[in-house]
Amino acid sequence: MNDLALLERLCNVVRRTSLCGLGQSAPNPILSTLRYFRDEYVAHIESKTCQAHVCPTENTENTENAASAMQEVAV
Amino acid sequence: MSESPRVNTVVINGTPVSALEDETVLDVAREHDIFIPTLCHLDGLSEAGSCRLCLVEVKGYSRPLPACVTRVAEGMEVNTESEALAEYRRTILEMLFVEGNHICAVCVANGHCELQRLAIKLGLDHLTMPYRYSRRPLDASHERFLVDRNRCVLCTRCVRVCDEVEGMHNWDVMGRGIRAGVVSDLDMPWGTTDYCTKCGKCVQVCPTGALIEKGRSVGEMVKRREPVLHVAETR
Repeated sequence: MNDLALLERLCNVVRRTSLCGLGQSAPNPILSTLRYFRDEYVAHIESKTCQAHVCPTENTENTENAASAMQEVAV
Repeated sequence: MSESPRVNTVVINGTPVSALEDETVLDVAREHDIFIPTLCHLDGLSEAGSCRLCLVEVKGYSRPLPACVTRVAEGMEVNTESEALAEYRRTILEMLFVEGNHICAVCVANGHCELQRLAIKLGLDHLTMPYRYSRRPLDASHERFLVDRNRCVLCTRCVRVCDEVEGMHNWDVMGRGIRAGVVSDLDMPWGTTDYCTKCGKCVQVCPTGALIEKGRSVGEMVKRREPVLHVAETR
């Protein structure tokens, strides 16, 4: 969880202090997702699950759930 | 008769001071013994504005401005110390430390290193980011000098001094982002380049132990900056 704070701090510093426009805007997507989807970041760290079912590193049980969910959707 | 430069009044940390219009915020602060940390700035060379350590807050601007390339203006209100600035400076220093190989205890420049001095001055006593353990190429092909890019902080002082003072432009920066590094003569071994005059100015201006004289042991690489400043001033 320390990493989240570090990530946020890093993003803010890079955004505020960069010389070029790329550096000033590159951290914005991360800051936005941290603001609106922080619970998903936390879920990845704490329960090693991916709420959006898109992570390849997710454990198999959840992948199977995701696969069946996908099938249901497809049907 | 040439016109004398206009004198502006600027406020630094709440104290009004007078400054010539062609001076930078850093010049004015230094004149009045106000400390602003710098890494890429060196008297006698052009400014790069790339190390981002001299950032100061200027009233009316939403983001901090680098003091070394910001010219003073009438009525400018500058703040060189704040909690946010200290945080920015420490984080930038920390990123420099974890990016390269800055293990002071085994470095030839230990005790004479500007990066080390800044870390002490800014209170960076531990790192919170993971080390990258960089393995950038080291070039010992030169008969007198050596470049260890793992200790390089990309201040580009060597690039500027070789171009502006020595007039040879042997050094340049190659690559982008994490792969950036200084290269000699379009990335040829330093010892084989036709441009290097073996003057050693790049070694003397390097703030860390990245450019060093061969045959120095731990802590023995003392850099002499005065000759470079003297040459630049007497031009």
